[in-house]
Amino acid sequence: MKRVRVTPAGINLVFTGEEADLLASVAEQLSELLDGYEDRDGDPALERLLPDGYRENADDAEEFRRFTQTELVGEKVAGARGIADALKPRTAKGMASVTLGHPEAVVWLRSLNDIRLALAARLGIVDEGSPPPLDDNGYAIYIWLGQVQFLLLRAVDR
Amino acid sequence: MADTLERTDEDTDLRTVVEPDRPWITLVWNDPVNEMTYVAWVFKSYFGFSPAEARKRMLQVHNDGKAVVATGSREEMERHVYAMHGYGLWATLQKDDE
Repeated sequence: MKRVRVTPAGINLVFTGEEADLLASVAEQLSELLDGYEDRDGDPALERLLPDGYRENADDAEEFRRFTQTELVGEKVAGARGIADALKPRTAKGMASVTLGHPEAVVWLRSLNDIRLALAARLGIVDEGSPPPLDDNGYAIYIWLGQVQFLLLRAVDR
Repeated sequence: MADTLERTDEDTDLRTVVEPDRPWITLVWNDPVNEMTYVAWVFKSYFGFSPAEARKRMLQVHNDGKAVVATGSREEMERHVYAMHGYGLWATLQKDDE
């Protein structure tokens, strides 16, 4: 990320064109993944994004899921699409410059976290003792997303 | 519970005082992905904890594997769990064991 700045209009994030394409692409992938939530079939990324609300009672967990899941998925999909859409316009130099008010910045933080959760599940990062992922490229994206989230959080929480 | 409320027998008035339900709790579980600063920020901004309290509960999640972040009715705890899932935190609710 080129820059994070707090301005009177909100938090301004500037990405290179390449970074913006990458972030938009993973955000779109997240929304596509979530669109298929009804056929989750044990998919670890969906399991982690939409976990059980009850640990010990499968019936309660199922009922909680039935009452909340559609809305939860809707929120997460809207967040991811919001990121992808915001990154489309480019400056004359080919950069993406996005200014976020507080509520939008919070949606971005949540959605960046969702992307990291999904990517971590794909990379096999499941607990503190997980071995380093074999997919170097995927792992680099995961680390980079963590940095973007950290910088944005620092700007939000000041 | 429903049965108790529907009773009309005067004689049972004193004996049908219902023991208060054990409260429900919201637990947040440790995971290797969520950053500590993010978890503390969620606790602070959503539950309104002070920065010190938010940090304490975040460290409890990190070190003990889980922390109780709220206590109350089942409905309230379901709302909190839903909100935590929105933030990507791994949360569940259950009856308080203690």
